[in-house]
Amino acid sequence: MANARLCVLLLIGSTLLPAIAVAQDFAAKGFKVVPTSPRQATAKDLAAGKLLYEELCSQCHGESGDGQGVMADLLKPRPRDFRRGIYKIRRTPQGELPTDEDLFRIISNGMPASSMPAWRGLVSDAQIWQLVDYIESFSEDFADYPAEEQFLLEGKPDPTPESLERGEEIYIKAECAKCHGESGRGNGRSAAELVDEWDFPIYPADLTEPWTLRGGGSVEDLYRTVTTGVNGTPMPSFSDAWNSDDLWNLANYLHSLGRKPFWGEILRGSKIAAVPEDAFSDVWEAAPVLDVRLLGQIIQEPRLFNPSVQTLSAQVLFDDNEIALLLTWRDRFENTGEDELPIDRVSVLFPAQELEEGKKPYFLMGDRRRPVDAWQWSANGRTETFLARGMDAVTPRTSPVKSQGVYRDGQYRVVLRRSLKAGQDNEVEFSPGTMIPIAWNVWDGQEGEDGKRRAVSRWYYLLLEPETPLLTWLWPIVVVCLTAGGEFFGLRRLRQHWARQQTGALQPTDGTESQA
Amino acid sequence: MGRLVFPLSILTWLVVWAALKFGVQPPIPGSVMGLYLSIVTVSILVYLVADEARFEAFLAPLISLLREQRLVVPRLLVLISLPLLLGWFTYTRVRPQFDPPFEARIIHPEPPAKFKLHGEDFDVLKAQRPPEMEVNQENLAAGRRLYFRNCMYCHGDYLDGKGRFAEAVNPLPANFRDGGTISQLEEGYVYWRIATGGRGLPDGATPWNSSMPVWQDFFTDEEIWQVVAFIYAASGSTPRTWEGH
Repeated sequence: MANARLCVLLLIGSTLLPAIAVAQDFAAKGFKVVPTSPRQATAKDLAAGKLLYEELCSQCHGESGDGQGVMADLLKPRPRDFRRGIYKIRRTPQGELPTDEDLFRIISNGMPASSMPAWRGLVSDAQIWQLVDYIESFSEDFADYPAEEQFLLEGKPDPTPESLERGEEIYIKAECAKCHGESGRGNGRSAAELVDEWDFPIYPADLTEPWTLRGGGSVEDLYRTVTTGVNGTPMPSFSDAWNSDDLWNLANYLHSLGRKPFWGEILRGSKIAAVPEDAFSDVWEAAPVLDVRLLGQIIQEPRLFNPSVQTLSAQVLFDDNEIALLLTWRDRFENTGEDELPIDRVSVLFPAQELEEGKKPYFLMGDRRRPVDAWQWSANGRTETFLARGMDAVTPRTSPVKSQGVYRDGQYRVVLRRSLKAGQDNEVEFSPGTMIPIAWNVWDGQEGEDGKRRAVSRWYYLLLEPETPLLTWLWPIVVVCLTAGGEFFGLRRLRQHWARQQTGALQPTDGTESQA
Repeated sequence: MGRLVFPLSILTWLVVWAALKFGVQPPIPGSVMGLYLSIVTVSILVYLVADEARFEAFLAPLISLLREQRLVVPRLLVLISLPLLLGWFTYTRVRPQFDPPFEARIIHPEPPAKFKLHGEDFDVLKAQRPPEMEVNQENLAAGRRLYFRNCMYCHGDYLDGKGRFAEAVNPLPANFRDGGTISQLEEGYVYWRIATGGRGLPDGATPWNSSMPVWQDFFTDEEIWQVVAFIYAASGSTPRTWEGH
């Protein structure tokens, strides 16, 4: 009997001791850790949560919470399997369950660049809590092993040069680049081999496009991820090896790798002396960027539901004779057709004929009545042009387009050049001041994208900005001169008036004013 | 009190401007805004001019700015910045502006009397839900499955038109929960829009921009009725009918 009691005590002790030891560790390293306070779910909340879950969540996460809803096979990332109790985005230590608040936040805010929508505003906060209760009921672990402590995301230092420098040092020392790549594009050496807990391939996050990070792209979000890791994936927690200040500096550095997107409607280009042939030419830095959101081609079979490339950046410049487009996009792996996989490709579409009454070709490679002029660059260095009257009616023709494409550190940079004037029938002609519809298609060979399985964009506009007419400068100059002249003479008159008033006040009998 | 006339007049003008600019939703069009502000300006001036002492009190700070020796720095600042501001304003008005061409789009265009559905004529106006396709559990469940495997990427989990690809397309996917979409339409119309997709739209509705697939290439006639039933039921809308008219 005494032995049995001792055994139980030892058992309890052995489970508690590491927890206490870990907790002390966190505090010693400057992490702010507080205890959690799990909710007590009522039967009523669970019943309400079940109804909501079946209406709103089960199509992806499955009626039984197994992540096998009716559309699970079409989604990437796959919907979470709630029965395993493995959650990616948490403020609790690595391997622990999330807190109720963690789940509330994810349901409220959704996960960017995935199919998880932000539910806040669509359902009430009370309903989100009911969903939290119901989702937790899929795994007994929430009752048996709830997380006992969570990190506070407090103490963010300013992103000073010192902080960023220290962060970069940690990025190198902690071997972040092994997965996330030198520039943070998620293209490190091991990027191709990673799998998650379910043996599905998983790619390291691309830190240069922070709006696609599932857990959010703020410094706090990045600090949380490096501190707690991403359960179920190869992304570890760094809170055992580094202290809180280190990880804040790292988070600052990771945040600094992110760029700012320029969403818009018009790709604007200005005239320069000679367009660059080189994709890395300095003159591109001054050209405004248009970021284009891509969607999967889900309109005709075979469809692509999860395009690998979701953002394409475009820039344009022109000179007296030529137009040059620079297209930049992230691709974790270069596919030049040397292996079994399809070749990475990009194409630019323009209406092949002048628009009649504003009628454009169909945005997917045109239609029978209105064809498109398609320029295509492939990663094997080939440049082709096509006249397309729909995705099934694509005719190659002699290409007047010259190109230079470079793959470097997880990114393609491709320059496409052509004369402004059209050289043959059904070719786009560029004249400054005209809005020309423009669209893009992108293929990532690594993901098997080929043929109709491609990322596509809707129509945007290309504008070559004409030189500012002289009159534009003349009018403001005239206005400035007139106003300044008016001020000058007005003030002079006023001064004379005041002077006369003063002399008038001194000599009230003076009659000059009445004579005037 | 006299010293406050000038700042109070300016403040009044600013308060009215701020109220009109930020306090009114939807925003007031620029031309109407200009009209209101001229009325406000004139009213303030009339009030000031009505009393000579008050007008003099209003002018006093301006005169002292132009006249007093100790205010030479602010005076120069005002005298230099005024022409520059007006010049800048003129520049913003005369510089060439390039906005995307306005594409008028009819959102719910008149449907054709008939269209080809899997090779057969389909009469949009007379279309009735076939009796075997009644709105029941079975058809709703089938419609739900079809919706989520095909439509959800654009029209969203919540049927609010905010699917994952919504931001990448233009026109935006329809929000079925909005009273201006399917609740305004008959089932036959919605059937036509699904069956023929963006390509089936007349030119006035910019078919070249629409990313709505031609669903009769994917779905059977029955499946389209099931999807129609599901989007009405799940968004809490009811189709428009002509019964009782």
